[in-house]
Amino acid sequence: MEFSSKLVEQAVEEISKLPGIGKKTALRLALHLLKQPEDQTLLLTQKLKELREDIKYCQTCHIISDTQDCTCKTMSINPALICVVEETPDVLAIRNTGQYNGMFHVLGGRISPIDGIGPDELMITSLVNRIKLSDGEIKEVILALSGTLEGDTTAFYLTKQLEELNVEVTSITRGIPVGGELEYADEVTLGRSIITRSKVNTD
Amino acid sequence: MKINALALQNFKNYENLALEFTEGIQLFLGQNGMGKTNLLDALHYLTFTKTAFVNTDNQNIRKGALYFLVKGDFENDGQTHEVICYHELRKKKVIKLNGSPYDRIIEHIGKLPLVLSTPYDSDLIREISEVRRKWVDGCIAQYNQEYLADLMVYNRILSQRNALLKGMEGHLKASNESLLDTYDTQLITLSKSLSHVRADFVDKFVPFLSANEGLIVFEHETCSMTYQSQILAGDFEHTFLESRKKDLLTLRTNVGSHKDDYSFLMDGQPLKKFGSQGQQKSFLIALRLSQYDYLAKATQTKPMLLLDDIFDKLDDERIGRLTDLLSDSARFGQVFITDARKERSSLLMKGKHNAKIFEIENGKVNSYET
Repeated sequence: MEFSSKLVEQAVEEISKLPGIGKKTALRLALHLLKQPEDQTLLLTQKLKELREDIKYCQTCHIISDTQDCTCKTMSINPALICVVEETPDVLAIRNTGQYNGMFHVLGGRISPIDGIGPDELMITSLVNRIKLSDGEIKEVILALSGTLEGDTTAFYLTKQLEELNVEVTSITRGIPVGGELEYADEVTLGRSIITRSKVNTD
Repeated sequence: MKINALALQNFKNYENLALEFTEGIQLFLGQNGMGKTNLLDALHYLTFTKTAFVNTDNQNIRKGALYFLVKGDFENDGQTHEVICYHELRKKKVIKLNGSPYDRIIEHIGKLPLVLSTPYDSDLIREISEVRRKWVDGCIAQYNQEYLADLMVYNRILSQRNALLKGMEGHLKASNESLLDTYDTQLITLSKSLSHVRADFVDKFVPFLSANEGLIVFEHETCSMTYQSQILAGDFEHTFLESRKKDLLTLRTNVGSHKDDYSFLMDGQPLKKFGSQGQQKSFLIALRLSQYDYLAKATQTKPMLLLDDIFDKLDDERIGRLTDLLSDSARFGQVFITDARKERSSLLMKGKHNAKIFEIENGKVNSYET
């Protein structure tokens, strides 16, 4: 795309680097900003700058936070459980279920050497140390990773790393969505849910 | 299984085409470059959701057009199915069965059994092992979805393991060693199960090959096929783990299912080295007919049989025998044949009742029944 202004072109170039945004959308956003009061754009840049410079990752659970010591320990009612997830939004998703009151551990991704992510790029050693330092207080590690091959590999790898730590390692189950029709479920999911079937509770 | 109608829009050299097929032999006649093979490829596309040749989906779009569409009306046990393959320039293709698109296109593979023979079949004998593995994998995938799923997982883990080896550049850290262990366990288990299916395929396939050797004019020669794999020989787990040192040096995985190979034999001798051109051509026809018979048995249907330029390089006697064979309606359903020599084929079809002829010229088709 050829622009009449170098400044617009450079802004579009940067904005279009964001995920899901192409050149046309980037141009629309850039022109929109120009039409708004100047303060609004400056506020946006200021907030982006603060976000980038001041954001911290909790040293314990690696969740995105405003401080290096987040509220993870005080917020969790049950310190015997620790749920391992890939990214911070996963924490929110699980917390929103209202079914979990334990602690979290954010890995920061999943193992995929093709994308340059090996075990050392993830917060795995930190998880092992966290369990060791808890002196037996952590009883169970719940793996809540994505149902992809890389998610499975990460789960497999973690299980091996945790083998000698005297904690129980469990994984969330995969299966039919609540309210979903059986006939529309894909065969792999259905097959897996049959293998991991559970006893029907009549109480 | 049969296809009643085929419709094409902007597929390769066809702007807009609608064809109706009958039972039995469907003969596509026309000079070179008129688009006979493209019709076979359209059928291949409906079955495998990709072309049989090297083109990308964008290259399948007719010059100057923005999309292509291939539509087939199929009939199986009295039930009709409509399959649509649609691809827009630089977009993701869509495959629909009876109006609803697949979430995962792989679920479509195997729904419409088909066997295709092309002049490139000689690659199966002459080329590297990958070509033969692909052929066998394709044969099995048409009736065994679980195998296909395992194979895809295997290939994905293999590329992850190779990427890990490349990234390490020979330096083995404890964390990477542990990750290698993880991949190895998965690859060893998958290799074993893939291998069992492959060995079982060859065991069951060889009798079909023997049954077809006489039909396709070998005087006294016997045809066979063998499977070579490190996996079934000895302690595979040990072999795999022992190879790690080498893997670390070569930066890739040296042992596993991706190293399997198959040999084609005539009178116990490898065809690659000892077969004449004529023998190889005859063998390949026997191979495709065996694939047809095998698939027919595995799927309990009559698959579509596509024979591209099959009469080329065969003498008249063999051609005669082959056409007699193909008009056996108890064994074959629809057979699609292309030929550039109209007089030869017209003569062959004389007196055969179940044939429909399509004369093809520059993307236009004129059809009549014999």
